[in-house]
Amino acid sequence: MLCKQTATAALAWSLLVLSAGTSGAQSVWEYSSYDVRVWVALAPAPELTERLQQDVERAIAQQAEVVFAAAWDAKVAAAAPKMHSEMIAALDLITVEEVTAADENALRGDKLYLVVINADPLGFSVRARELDCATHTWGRVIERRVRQPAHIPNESFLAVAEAFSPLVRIEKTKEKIAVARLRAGGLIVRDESPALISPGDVLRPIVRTNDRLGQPRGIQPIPWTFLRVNSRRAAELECDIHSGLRSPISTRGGRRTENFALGVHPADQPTELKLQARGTESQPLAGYEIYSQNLETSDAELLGLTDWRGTISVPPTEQRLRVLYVKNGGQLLARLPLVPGLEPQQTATVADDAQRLEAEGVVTSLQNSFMDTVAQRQVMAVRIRKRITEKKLDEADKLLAEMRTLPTQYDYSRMLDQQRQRFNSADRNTQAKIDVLFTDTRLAVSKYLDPSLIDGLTRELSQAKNQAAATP
Amino acid sequence: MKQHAARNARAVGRIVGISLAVSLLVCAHAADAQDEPATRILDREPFDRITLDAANGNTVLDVLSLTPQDRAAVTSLKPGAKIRIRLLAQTDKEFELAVSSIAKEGNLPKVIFFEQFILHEADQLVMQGKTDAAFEYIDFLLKKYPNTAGLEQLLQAYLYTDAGLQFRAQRYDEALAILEELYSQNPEYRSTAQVLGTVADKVIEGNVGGQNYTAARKLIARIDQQYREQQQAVVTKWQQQLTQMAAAKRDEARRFLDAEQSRAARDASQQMMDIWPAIEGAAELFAEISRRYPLMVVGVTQPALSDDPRRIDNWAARRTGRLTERLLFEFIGYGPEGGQYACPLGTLETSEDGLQLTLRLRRSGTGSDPTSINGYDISRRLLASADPSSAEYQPAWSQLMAGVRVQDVMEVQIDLRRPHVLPPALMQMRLEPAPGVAADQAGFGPYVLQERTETETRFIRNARFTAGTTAQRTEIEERYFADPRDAVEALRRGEIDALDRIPAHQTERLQSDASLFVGQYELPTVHLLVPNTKNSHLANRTFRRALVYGINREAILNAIVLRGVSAAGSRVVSGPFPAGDGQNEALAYAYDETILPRPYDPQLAFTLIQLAEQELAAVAEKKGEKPPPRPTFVLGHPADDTIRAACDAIVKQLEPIGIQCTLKELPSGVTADPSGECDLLYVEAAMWEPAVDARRLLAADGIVKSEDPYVGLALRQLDVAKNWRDARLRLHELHRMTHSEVTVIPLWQTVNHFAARTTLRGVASRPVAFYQDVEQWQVAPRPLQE
Repeated sequence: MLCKQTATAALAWSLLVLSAGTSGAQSVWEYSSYDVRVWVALAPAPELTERLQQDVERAIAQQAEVVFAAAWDAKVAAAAPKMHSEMIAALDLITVEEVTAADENALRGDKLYLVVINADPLGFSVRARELDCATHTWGRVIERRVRQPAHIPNESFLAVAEAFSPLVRIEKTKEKIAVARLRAGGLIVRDESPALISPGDVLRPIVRTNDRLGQPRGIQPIPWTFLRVNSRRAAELECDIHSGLRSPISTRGGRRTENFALGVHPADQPTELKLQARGTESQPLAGYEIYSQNLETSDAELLGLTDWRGTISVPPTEQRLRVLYVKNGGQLLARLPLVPGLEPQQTATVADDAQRLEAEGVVTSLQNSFMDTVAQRQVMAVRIRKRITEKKLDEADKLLAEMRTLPTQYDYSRMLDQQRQRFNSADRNTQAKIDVLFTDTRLAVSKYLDPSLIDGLTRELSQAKNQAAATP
Repeated sequence: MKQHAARNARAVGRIVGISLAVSLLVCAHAADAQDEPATRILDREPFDRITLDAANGNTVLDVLSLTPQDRAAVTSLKPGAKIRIRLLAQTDKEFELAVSSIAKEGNLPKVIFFEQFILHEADQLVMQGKTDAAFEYIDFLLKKYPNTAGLEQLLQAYLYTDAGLQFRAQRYDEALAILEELYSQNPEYRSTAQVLGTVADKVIEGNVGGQNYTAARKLIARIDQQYREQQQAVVTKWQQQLTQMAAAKRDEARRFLDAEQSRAARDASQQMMDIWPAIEGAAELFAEISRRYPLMVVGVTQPALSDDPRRIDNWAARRTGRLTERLLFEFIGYGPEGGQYACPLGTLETSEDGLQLTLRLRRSGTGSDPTSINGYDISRRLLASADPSSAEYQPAWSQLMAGVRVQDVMEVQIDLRRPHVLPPALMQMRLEPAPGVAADQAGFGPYVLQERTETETRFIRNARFTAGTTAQRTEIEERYFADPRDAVEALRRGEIDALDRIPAHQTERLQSDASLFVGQYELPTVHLLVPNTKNSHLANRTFRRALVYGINREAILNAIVLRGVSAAGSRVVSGPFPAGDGQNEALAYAYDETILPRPYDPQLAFTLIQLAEQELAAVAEKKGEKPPPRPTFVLGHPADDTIRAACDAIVKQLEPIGIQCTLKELPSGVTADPSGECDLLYVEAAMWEPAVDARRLLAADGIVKSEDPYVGLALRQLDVAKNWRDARLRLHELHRMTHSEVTVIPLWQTVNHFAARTTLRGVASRPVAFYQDVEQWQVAPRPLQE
């Protein structure tokens, strides 16, 4: 095993002393290196020799020292025999439990990297995958292709570096702002260090709840929530919280609750977003509008509609984070921050709004008809009064009779009642929205289809007739 | 006289038609018609003029027309008789007048009766060459005073003069008709016989010059039959001339035939038959050429720029698509429950639970042919249609199909996620050539495109196509006519064998032609205006409703589309689906008859426009923007004579309610506006299977590109309909929604007709598509026409 010398420990200690104002825990977090372990497994192939294994381990350790410097304390070793074949066979399927079964101390550090080197007819593949120990979170598999065996050691380090996700601890939140502290942030002295986090970077928050012994009792990524770094001052980050939840992050969970966030490195691939109805088993929500908000300008553009499977492909953007809005017939149903490429598919559970939309369609249809009737009545009233003024009383009579054939307040109220009976939702929110639609329309009908208009015109016409009769 | 009266009646009808159209179209208040001053004698109260004798100072009395009894007393100079008169100047008082007091001219009383005034006036008009004016007088006399002395002579003079006028105006047809009538009345009248020959010569010359040989031949035959003795010279002259012309074409055709120049031979022989089919050897030569190179010429008024049997918005592409392509399932008509479909390659069975389809392909016609289709080819098509990344992707099919597998190469089993009312409607998929076979060598239609020019498209037989064919299939040439009247005349003259669409008002006329067969298409087309909702005004549903109220659709349909002809099934519609045509109500399963078309109400339209603009202003204010100004809208329409006139009428009707539109005619054969330059697009849609065509028309990726969420929801609900009852309910809901939202502006539906010469055999009387049974068609050699 190659072990990085603890020369950096002295530097860390001195920095700890300098930061006398900070708490001890904060100092350890900020001024101690990532405890990094790397397990390397070479597939059984003639070209993949014991010597190559040693070269790979050495290259990773040496280059980590150069690239990550004091931020990392990396220990590189051959994979434990229990893990070796698992890693080669199914790197992307390995679980935390399998890792701890192979080495009970595996999660004592900060990061564990599994590196697998394989040979195939086209050359060699180097694959690396990160396990963040604090959050028990696996990163995606990073794969690099190599033709020459001599390049394998260097590419192995590059794969590990690419798999690395910086870790932060969320210290406080206020409304939509979170303040976080970068792990080993006090040890990063170069701006180009891969351990650094910069404004614009995106982090995925994860809540860890510990037992009395500090062992994780529950680890939960906060769904549909991301942090976007606004600014960095030394190791302190100020981030915007983008979430589909009302209060996604609470920093008042007690000493046993820790809020972490991991930097994201999405693949340059779209994510298939799937909407399914809340409360039902995989009922897809088709035809829902998905809007994407530009985080700089706040403008939203229609990305498209979900297809019959309830899915829509969300392509990556330069900003990485996309804030999606789910609407149905103009009704906002969900806000879904998402990093395309982070996961191949993500499923969101949203209220099935079809019944409300159908009710809205029916009510809108009645409203359209109602508006036409109101306009027709006004037009006819003008024409009737004109005829009365012109003493064309017979014509006025005819128009009034015609006006009486138009749908009345009673007709519309009856239609509204009939239609309302069609829509009974088990979901209280949906039913409330439906009720509001019908109630508002009924009020409008009462207001604008006042029967006194016809009564008034009838009186005016009657008076005009009497006057005409009285005139010799 | 009858012909002349008919001519006048036609003229009057035309004027009435035009004025009706104009009054309806411009929505203007008709000005009160001013009565013409009653100066003409014809318009005056009938009166007689009596001159008294010298004893009474030769006084002239204008009196109201005498009663028949008094008239008889006057004309017979009955001694001692008295008559009752009312002076024109004092009609409320009656006087008695002794017949003996009337002056005499010879043995006759000096009385001028009213009809003699009329006769005199008419005579004057004839002498002045004012025959149109004279016609009214003569017509009056013929009806009211047919026994007037001198009327017959006046009539002959009138006919002779009018014939001369028509001749000088080079209206030889009419001059000839008038002369023939005069000849029938009095063959000796002046030089009628000689003039008739001259005019007939001119008419024949005009027919020959206009290549209307059929009419020329018919006239020669009639002149020969009716006036042989008098007109022998004319008949002989033209018989010889046409015989020579036909002989030249015969010789030309023979030369082409020998040189195996099929098209030229066919054209020359066609012309020969058209000019003078009775020449020696013509019938045999024509039969020989028809046998060796059968050709059918189809007149079209909408040229096909592409061939696609699935286009619902392009009649021409759909028409020719049937020639060059076959679909896995093809719509062939209507049954009690929606469309009936046939698979040209095999048969389809549906399991009892409706969840599995088995398609068995016929083995005949396949074998070692590399272009033959097997179950694996079909399965690839079915899978491609369910693949979102494929150009053939159909969401509804993707949603329905659970899996597909092939058994024994020629049997395809398709598993469905749920039962569907009409799976074959979703399986109208193009058949693709097998891998490795060039597309142009492996068309699956009975024809392949040979040549496409601006005026002609020629299809030749597809040698690889064998399914359901007769031994003798003709080649097909589509000939484009910009003016449908020219197409109709070409059909009547025999220049074309069929016409795929005929104007509604021509149907009756063509039906009366024994040499033609007129058929009606099984299904109507629905005419719509598709609004471009990128235009902020058109995105407003209130504004769209205003447009509907502002267009007098009934008037345009009757006055312009149908030209006053009653056509069962052609009617104004309230939605995008076909309504019943009175004969086959099954096709109207998507149409909810309780939703009535909005009436024409320009005042309401005007009011709704104001309301819509208030809504637009409120939205703009919320955004801190200025309200959008009302633009001049661009109304795009296909290059079609009737559609052009209908759109012109729409523009004129919208103008008075404050909507300015300009017309943009799409290039010939184009029906879509992919650039989105048009604010409104006239679409004639063949919505034959609304259960699946509704999505093709209305969906966000359809023709209308509707993003209306209510319509989208209704479409999705339609997609999952499990039975016909459910499907019908969903379609009615969709109808209601599109009506309410005015997703499209529905105009009318038309039942459409085609016509073919009776020499074309095998054409169905009510086909769905023009070339539906094209494999069975045969063109018989044309009988000699005399």
